[in-house]
Amino acid sequence: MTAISVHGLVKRFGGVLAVDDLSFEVQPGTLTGFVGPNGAGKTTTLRMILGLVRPTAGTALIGGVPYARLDRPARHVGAVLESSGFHPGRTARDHLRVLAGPSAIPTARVDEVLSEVDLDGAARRRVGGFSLGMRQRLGLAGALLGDPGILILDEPTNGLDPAGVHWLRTLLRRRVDRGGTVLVSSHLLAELALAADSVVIIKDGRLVTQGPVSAITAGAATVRVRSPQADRLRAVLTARGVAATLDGPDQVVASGVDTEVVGRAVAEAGLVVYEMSAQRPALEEAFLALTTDEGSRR
Amino acid sequence: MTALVRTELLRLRTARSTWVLLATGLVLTLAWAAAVLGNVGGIGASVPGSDQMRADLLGATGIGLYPVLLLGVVSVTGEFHHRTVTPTFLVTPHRWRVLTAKAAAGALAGALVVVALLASVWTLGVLANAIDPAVDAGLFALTGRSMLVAVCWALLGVGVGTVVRNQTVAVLVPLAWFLLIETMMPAYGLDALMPWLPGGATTALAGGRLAGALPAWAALVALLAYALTLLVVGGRAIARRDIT
Repeated sequence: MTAISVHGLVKRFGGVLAVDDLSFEVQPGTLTGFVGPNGAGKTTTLRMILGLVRPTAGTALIGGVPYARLDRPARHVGAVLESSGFHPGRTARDHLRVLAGPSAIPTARVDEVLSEVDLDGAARRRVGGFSLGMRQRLGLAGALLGDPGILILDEPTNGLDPAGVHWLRTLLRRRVDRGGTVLVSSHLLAELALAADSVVIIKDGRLVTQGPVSAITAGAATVRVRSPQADRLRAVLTARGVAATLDGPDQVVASGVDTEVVGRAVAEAGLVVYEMSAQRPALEEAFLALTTDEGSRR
Repeated sequence: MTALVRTELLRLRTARSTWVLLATGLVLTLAWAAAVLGNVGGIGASVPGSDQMRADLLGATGIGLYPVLLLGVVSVTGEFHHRTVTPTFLVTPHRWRVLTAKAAAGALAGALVVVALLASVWTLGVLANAIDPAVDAGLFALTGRSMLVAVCWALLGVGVGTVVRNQTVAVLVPLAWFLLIETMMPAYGLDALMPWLPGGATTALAGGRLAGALPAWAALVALLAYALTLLVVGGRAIARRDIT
């Protein structure tokens, strides 16, 4: 069974279509990145999955059931959402005790998660005096309380320093390696590419693509060929259904293919080639190619 | 449900604002009681040791009801003000249950607080030789009425908080209602309405003097009806609301 499945999800806020017929699945035991430019609908989607925002249409299920129907949801799903807050006059430990109450999670577990996020020293301090990074850690501690199989995190690296980002990545990876499932949204891909198994990319509330990180970067791969017969090579490639463009008088750029395809085409057409190189972009560039206006489907 | 009520009580206990409100209530109550004691021998003052003197003194706890009401208000509006509503509804997606638990916890807290206030004023009165330290049926009756009033006011507070989710407005509205609007009614010739309004019903339930006051039981029903109406109206909106 899929850990998280979103089907035909739509959310309209007044006249604004925030999420538009979005469908994707998150497989158990994977770390999935949920990426898109700011305003793409990531937060709204996550909040619909968590039963906080009511979808205009479509369904979002966790292990096959809507979030609201989970018994003691903290034991199944832990979430860290961007705009969730803390009562400034309450201590970190009391904040977690309040969250633990409805799911009958013992106070011993509260102390456990506090040390898991390195906040044991600040446990009895009021949250009002916490830095952004400490609040992120406390939010994560709250998500870990019920030792849930699924973690959903919305921009969890905001406010963390590079060491904190590394620490978070290690923590998430460890949970996934133990069979857990993580869905994490981010607009910063570089820090995600190092940890994610697969990505779901959205833009303007619509799915752009989803799949393993390697497949996404392959889709945006290009092959650059330098040849005195560049124009003919472009025609040959185009005839084979490959998207190819001229770059200057003697270069052709073929996209979405690897060097084998281009090499074979060159040989069969009997063309002269001086140089050929594969350019496999980083996830960041693949993402930009997919989400900038030229790359989008609209 | 028990776990949820216990959680809400924990939430109240662990917020500093709760203790600030309650301390304010205690100070106001004692100040009011001191004023009653200071008036002994003056015009219209009750005789020390009389039942009326005891009722006057214990009536000082009425001012302590405002903090009880505000405790109820803030228990709901604070969730939106501090944006803790997201984690709250994540751990308990059934929003009606959260509101019911808040109402129950507020009512319990209100009853406990008023007993504590009554005990402090009673002790003050006994020490000042204004109250006969006998524990009799009259004292129990006064305590019972005060507890019912406190429960109603806590529920009214939670109700106002669910309807008016903006914290500042939700704190000001009930203060303006009880201290300004209802007290100005006679000036506009609306005396006949007063027994039916929350303030008038509170006076009747507490055993105070008001022309045309409802019987205590009817006043209790009226107050509970006001609170319940607010809770249902506000609760429906919160149950449907997108938490963004």
